[in-house]
This record gives sequence, structure tokens and C-alpha cells, in this order.
Amino acid sequence: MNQTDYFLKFKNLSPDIHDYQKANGYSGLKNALTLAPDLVVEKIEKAWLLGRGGAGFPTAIKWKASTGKTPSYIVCNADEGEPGTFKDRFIMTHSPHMMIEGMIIAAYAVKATKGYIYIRGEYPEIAINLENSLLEAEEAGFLGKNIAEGFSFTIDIIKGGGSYVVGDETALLNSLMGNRGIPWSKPPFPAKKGLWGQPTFINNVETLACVSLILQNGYDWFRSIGTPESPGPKLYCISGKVTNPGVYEAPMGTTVKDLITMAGGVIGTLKAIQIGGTAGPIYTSEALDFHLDFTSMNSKGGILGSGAIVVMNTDTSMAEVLEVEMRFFAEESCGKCFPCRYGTRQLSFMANNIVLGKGKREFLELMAETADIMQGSSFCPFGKSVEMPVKSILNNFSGELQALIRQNDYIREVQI
Amino acid sequence: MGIAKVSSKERNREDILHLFHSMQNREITKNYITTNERKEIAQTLGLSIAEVDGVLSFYHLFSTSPRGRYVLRICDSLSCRIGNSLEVYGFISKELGIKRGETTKDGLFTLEIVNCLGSCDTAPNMMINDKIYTKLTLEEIDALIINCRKEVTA
Repeated sequence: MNQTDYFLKFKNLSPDIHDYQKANGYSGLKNALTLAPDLVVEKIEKAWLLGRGGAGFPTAIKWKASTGKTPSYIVCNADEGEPGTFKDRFIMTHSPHMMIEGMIIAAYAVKATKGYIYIRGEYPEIAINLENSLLEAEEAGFLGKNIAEGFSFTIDIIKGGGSYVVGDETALLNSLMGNRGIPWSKPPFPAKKGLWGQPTFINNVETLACVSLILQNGYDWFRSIGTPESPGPKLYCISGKVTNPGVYEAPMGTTVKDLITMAGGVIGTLKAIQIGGTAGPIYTSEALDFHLDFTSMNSKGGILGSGAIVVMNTDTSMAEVLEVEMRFFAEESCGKCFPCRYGTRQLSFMANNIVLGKGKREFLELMAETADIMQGSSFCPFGKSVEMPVKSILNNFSGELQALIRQNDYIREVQI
Repeated sequence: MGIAKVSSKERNREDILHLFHSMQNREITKNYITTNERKEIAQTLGLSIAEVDGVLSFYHLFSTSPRGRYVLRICDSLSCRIGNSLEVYGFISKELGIKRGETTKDGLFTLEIVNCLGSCDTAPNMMINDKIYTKLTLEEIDALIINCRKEVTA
């Protein structure tokens, strides 16, 4: 089993800038500043860094759209809201400077002058600590005016108001500008027209931390870890019925089984595993052999997503899982498009009735149909993604759900 | 630098989230945004009240009706549900005599259910105002509630 500790080593260090610098921190920025911005982008491209927020889009391809137009912006997406995900909390708590350094490198690479950290409103204590980290970076000369000749950059923190959809990049930009946090249809891509119509580059916390690591250690080092298609180390979040839930770091492509072993194994008998967050499928034990990287997970019809792994044992009721997840979608749908607004409510209604013992026989089919329609016609990835958890629960655990519905139907009939 | 300060520059629409947060927490006991404050925000930013309300109503963390001095936010996402969040909810609900969305008559506590506090490895989790409490046991919850009550009488 192959564990790495490029991120995890900071668990035993303080989050302040001195500890970070002692661990080679900000040497990546110093390296970057000796290069032309284009060459920094080239290094990230050679490292083949894929976005760690969930979509796995190549960071360098995003950055290459930079034309040097001013003003342009860097936004750090710290709106970690995917249930089962807590890796960005880990980075911002233990090594906030790793993310800040990555942001400054990104700003230099795409010639941005202003940065925003959009942090979810549910992390108020972290937001306060980040403010201190930014002051430290400013005092050390890594932020502010003339960080290098002709390069000035400042960062503001924006605290979100509590919304899952805002994790989507265009929804996040709307929210940041003071609008309702609803997504817009791409194009225009934010790299062309983002904040206030200007080029905007949005990267996840872990992605930016990887940028620091790549500039510190070189792209060859990065590519020597993980798989050829999905290189680098990855933070995985394991929760649910395992002995030691937590953040684990391992190369991209590590198997689910190995990660569960790192987390001390399953408590009781394994029943189901959800991979990639609430928007990911729920598998049976077949998933133990899956390799956790973007390419492998996509080939299995699933997603790596944010690297969230939720383990369920035989004590877990799948009807309850269905109910929790459908309520989540219904509560978090932004309401912009009809298929998602109405579909999530219908799904939640049916799931709720099934768990309450009031499920009807046609519900399972109706749920699958609703999910299909949402997949085909929702405006943004949120509505489309509902299909994966719904269909996988219906396919993998239909016996359990059917028994629950059938039993209730008959009990009603035999009652006096 | 830091959390966008409204005083340091011309007030722009992008300050709206910051204004919501600061108005809501203007006094420790408040936890909601009053009608006058919504008007104030509209005036400050040069927006209509409808526009302000449109943005405000989009987010889960803000309230336009009075809430308790302590807002208890119990996470009931999958990992927390597997980790017994319903038991936490049931215990608090019984202890305080309120259900989801309700406030105790003495105005001390409001009970809310939220979707993921990003601490799934420490389930079950709950926030009391700005602070997160993890790996909750029923004894701890009892102590937390007693502490809140003590804080008020102190």
C-alpha cells in the first residue's frame, strides 16, 4: 500500500508561515517568479494537473485561455459543499499557505491582479484563520504591491451564505458578484468572460495546493506519482462505517480496498460504497477493486468527483440513504430550471414515502424515469447528476426497496 | 486584504454577502436580518428591496424572521445520518420541545437541519452559531445546552 504525505505531513505542523517555509513552502513561488508566465503554465501542463474540485479538467488548459487582458481575476473555490468531502477543510486548517502560494503562482501565470477566496459560510472559523494567513503572506512580501517586477496581487475573502449549487463555477461567480447563486450556460467560459465580464480563472483549493507542489518539486516528480492519465497525489475523504474515518493521502489510482484498509477497515459487514460525493453512484462491494482516478472511475460509469468515499454496512437502510440524498437535492436545487426544481421534489416525495412505509409499487419506476428526464434536460450539472445516485440505488438495492414497498402494500390489505 | 471590508472602499453589490453576515450577527443575540436592515442594505448598495430579498432568500444561512440566541445546526447528510444524526436531532428536539425550524419560547434556541458541514469523518456534527461540535454524544449535547443557558444567566 502506497501512502504519500505531501499534504498530510502538515497535520503535525502549525499552520503559520514559518512552519510552511521550513517545509520548503513558497519556494515554488520563488521558482515561478524566475520564469516567464507562459513557462509556468507550461510546467502545469507538463505535470498534467487535473482539477481536484470534481470535474478533473486540466488546469493548464483553463489557464492557457489567458490573454493578459486586465483586469483579470483568480478565484479559489473553497466552497466545499459536496457531502462526504472535507479535504479542503483539511488543507485550509493545516496548510493554508499551500493554497495561498498556489493562488499567487496562478495569478502570476495568468497575469491576474486580484484574487478572491470564496469560502463556504459554514467554515467561519477557517475564514478568520485564513485572514491571518493572508496577512502573514503580505508581511513576507508574497502578496501586495511589486511581489516581483511588474507583478502585484492581493486576495480578498468572500464568505458564502450556504448553498450547494454555488460550488459550480459560474454559480459561484454570480454569488461573488452579489447575485443569486445560479449557474449560467457556458459559453461564455469564465476564462473569457467571468467576474464583471473580465477573464476569471477558478480553481479548487486542492488544485492550487498541487500547483505549489509542482513548482516546488518539478513536473517530473508530479508525474512520477499516480497514473499516466491522472498524475499526482490525491486527498481522499473516507467516512461512514470504517474504523478510522478521515482524510487519507495516496497516489491517484489507488484502489478503494486499499483506502478502506488505510482507514482501518469496514466496521461490520460491507453493504454499499458511495464514491465521488452525493452526486456519485452507490455501489455494492464490486467497487472495492475500483481504481480511484478520473479515467478509471469514468470508465466504470462513475466519477472520482471530490474523492469522497462513504462506506455503509449492513446496518444501513438503503431506503434511508435514498431519502437523505433526495431531500438533499430537493433542498439544494436552485430552482432555475423546471426539470431539476420539480424533479428533485418529486424524487424526495417518493423516497420519503418509501422510508415511511407508504411507498407505492410504481414509485421505483417513476423515480428512474424522473432521474432520466432530469439527466437529459436539466440546465446544469447539479440536476443532471441526480441520475447517478438514484439509478444506482434502484439497480443495486432494488430487492430491499421492493420488499419494503411490497410488505407495506400487503400489510395494508391483511389488516382488519 | 482579508474579508472584504465595506468601509475601506466604495460599496459595491459584491459586498452584499458580507453585509448579510454582519447585519445578521450585529448583536450576539440576533441571528436574523430585520426589515429595516434589508432596507438599509438596499439603500447602501443602490438596489431595490426586492433585489436584496431575492439574493437573501437564495441562501440557507440567513433568516428574515427572528431566531434564537443560539442557532443549532444539525448536519443530516449521509455520513452524519450513518453516524446517528437522527438520534442527535431526536434528543435535542425532545430536550428543547421544538422541531426543525422552530425556536424555543424563551428565544434561546433555534433548531435547524443542514446539508453537510464538511466534517464527515467526525460524525455526528452540529454547529452552535459559528462553532462546530464534532463526534457528539448525548451527554455532550446535554452539557452544551446547559452551557448555553449558563452563558445567558451569567
